[in-house]
Amino acid sequence: MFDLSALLVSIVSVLVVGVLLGAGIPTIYALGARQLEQSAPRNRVLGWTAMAVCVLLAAMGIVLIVFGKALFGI
Amino acid sequence: MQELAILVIVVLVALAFDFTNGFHDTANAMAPSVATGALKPKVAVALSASLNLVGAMLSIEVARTVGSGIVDLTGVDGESLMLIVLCGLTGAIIWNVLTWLFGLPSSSSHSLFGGLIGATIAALGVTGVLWGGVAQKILIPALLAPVIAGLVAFTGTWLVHKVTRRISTRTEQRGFRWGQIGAASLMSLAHGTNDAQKTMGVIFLALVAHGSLDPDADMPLWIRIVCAMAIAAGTYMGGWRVIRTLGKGIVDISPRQGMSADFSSASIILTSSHLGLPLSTTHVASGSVIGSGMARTDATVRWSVARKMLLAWIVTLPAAGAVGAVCFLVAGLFGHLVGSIVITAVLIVACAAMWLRSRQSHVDHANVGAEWDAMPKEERKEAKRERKKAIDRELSTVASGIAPVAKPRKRRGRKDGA
Repeated sequence: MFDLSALLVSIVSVLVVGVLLGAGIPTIYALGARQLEQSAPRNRVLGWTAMAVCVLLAAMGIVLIVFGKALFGI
Repeated sequence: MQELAILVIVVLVALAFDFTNGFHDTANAMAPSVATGALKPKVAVALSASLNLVGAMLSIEVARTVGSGIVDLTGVDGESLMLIVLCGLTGAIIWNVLTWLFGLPSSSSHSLFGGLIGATIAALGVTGVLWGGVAQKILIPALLAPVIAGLVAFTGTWLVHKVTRRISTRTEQRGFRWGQIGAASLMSLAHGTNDAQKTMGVIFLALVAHGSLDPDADMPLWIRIVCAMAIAAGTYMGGWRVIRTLGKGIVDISPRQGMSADFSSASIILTSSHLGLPLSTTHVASGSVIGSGMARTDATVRWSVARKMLLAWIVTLPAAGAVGAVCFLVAGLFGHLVGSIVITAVLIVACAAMWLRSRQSHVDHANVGAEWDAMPKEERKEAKRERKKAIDRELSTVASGIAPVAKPRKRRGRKDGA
């Protein structure tokens, strides 16, 4: 049975999550890389923080997407 | 006894499909990393194989949905059902190996669905196919996957380039290397959670048809393990021809672009797996590479390669379907068991022939990263001879006094063919 509304919801969800994570993580990583290029301690802290945020977001994404149903019911 | 023999053949052919799936799709995750040199080719395929293995063991959500809503096989007796599955797998494998031979990234999932649809039409007629499901689960996602992936990768790459437009080349090469490795790893994991399960679903279906399993039973552990191992082994073999097309053929990938493309693909695959939207990993990965290439002003997308790839995508479903249907008709001439053996023999011969053909233009880990537009050796020699002749002509005209001695010209760089 063709369910257009379910299909549309899935497509919009994939697009939104894709833009947030798929474009967001590389942008945060790039900001981190730019900060790490500077030698000032403040920049390096900011840079490493951005890198840590990327790792955290990627890990959270995997946990939510792969184990979301089992752990959180989503 | 006859049913058991057919079941064994179906399981072995299903594992062979899983192997070709891994083999064909290594490129989806690792092509950008190999192209930019972030990972050495052998290391890349080893990493991808390990993560596919892990991914295949993580979830079985997709396995439950294989074939459901696409073909209606209720009421088909066990042996006929197994034969339909076998012929569908045969169509899928032959198409996978053929597209690998031409280095074209095409969807293994679509070839599997195409093969199953073709074999079902041959067995039950067009009423055996649920066309609404085909539109919803295959055709519309096939149209949307590259567009969504392209949009996300375009946005990501554009933002990354905007943020890092003043960074040094050294930071770009080193800083983004780890990002790219991380993104490619995520993509491999996503591929494992998605693609290995399709074969698990097919084997499960065959076991149900044989009567060994109840339709509501849990996925047996041995199926999960053998499927995970088959896709990992296929991935480790590395479909170098497809890696080369995706990594070097469509666009020259930079580390920043590769990272954005991989993150885009991984996030889309993982989300679509979670939502049950069956997007092809190949379409997503290729869309991401094209989208990220379009976001760069200093790189050009080779649309001629992209067009060939698009053609392969369009043809995948009907081509695999046609092979599946022909296989079923041929098998029907011999009866179920002998027909299964004949089809398997045809499959082996066809794959061996294509593999032998591939040896004529060998691509492996050693030359996978070579420049796409590099001239073949013979053409290089010819160009050199032509240049030498032109210089000789110029020298002779100067020597005979016809032309004045020109000022020495700067030598042209090697880029333009020198």
